[in-house]
Amino acid sequence: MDRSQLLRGTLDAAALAVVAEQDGYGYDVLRRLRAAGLTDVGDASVYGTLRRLYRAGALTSYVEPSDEGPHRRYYGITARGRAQLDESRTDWAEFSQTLSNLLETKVELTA
Amino acid sequence: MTTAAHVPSEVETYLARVRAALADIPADERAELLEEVEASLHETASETGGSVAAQLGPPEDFAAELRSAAGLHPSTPLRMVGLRERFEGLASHPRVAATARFSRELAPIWWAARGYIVVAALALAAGASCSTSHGAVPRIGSAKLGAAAVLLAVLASVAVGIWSRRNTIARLPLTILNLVLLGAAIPVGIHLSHRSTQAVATRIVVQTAIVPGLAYNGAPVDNIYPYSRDGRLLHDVLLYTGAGTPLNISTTAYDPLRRILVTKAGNRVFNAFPVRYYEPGTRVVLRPNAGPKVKVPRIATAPLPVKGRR
Repeated sequence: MDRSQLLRGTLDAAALAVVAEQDGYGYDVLRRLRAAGLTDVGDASVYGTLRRLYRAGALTSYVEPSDEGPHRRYYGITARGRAQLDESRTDWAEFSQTLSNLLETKVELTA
Repeated sequence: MTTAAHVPSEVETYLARVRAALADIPADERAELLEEVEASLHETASETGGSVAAQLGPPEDFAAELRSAAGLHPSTPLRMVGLRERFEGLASHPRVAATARFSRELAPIWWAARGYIVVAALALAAGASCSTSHGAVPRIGSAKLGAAAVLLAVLASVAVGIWSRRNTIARLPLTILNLVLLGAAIPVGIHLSHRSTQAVATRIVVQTAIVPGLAYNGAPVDNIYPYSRDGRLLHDVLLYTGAGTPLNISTTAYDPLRRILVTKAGNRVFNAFPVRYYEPGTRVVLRPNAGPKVKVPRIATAPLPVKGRR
């Protein structure tokens, strides 16, 4: 299965979950997503997603100076973002359960 | 320190290309997006040890992914529409349209030429000769059969041309065929022009059978080496014909190195042999006795009894 296709629909939830855990800047969020196992996630996808979630009001942002290089734009989750994350959680739980059932049934049928 | 100096420049060029690829999105949104990207690129560069492009792929792809993830409309369809509109605008331009109409009217000439080229190119490839009286007609068996083949091919080609105007199918193979024949027209054209110059050249040869200046059996003579009966090379021997005409050699072409005798009256003499040449920049003939490798035979006949000078 093409993992990048799976990621496309779920990256919003993943990014929200990472930021909800702790505020982070773009590269930091990317690193934490990869560390969590989403190794295929594209750099540009993460940065674009963060910007879109920010525009939609799911994230807030603030700038902090950095000792090394340019200042960093941190993202934090908003109330709206938290609501979206909760919704995503429920949706995912249902969806993954459905798909798991479906796939396991198929395996049993073919076995 | 070299890496520290290298990292920003590579990031900057990468970023500039990303910016260029996002040129169509609103300026403030693009600025924020790129600010986010720039900080992250620096992190990527310092962590991976330099090459951002190796890590992230081409900047245009990066920009496309960024655009898609950020939910900003892609720019490519817009640009395609612009191109097509521009092309259509160009096609409907009065001058372009007039040229297209004109070439459409001239097409039958090409159809006829195409028919001839097919036969001529095939005959040329097969090594067939051409008619002696009509150089453009290839001999296929005979010149008459060749002429018939050309006529048939021209008629067939015109028929195909008329047919292709009414039917749009087989347009691609016809276009390819036209291009191939246009290519074949080059050797055929060269062959035709070569034939015509050949005929002209033959005429010139007939007129100029007499080589101007000094000649021996038709070949031009550029020097004469007179030897005495005892085998000594003679110098500055003046040669004349029985009519008293000096046997002048190359009086027209001026050669500054040629040693030309001058009379007391100041006239130049061109029939003195052997002709000698000065060393460049001097008035010295390096080897005045140099001559062709000839072995002068021993003469048995007694010398003529010559008394005094005439």
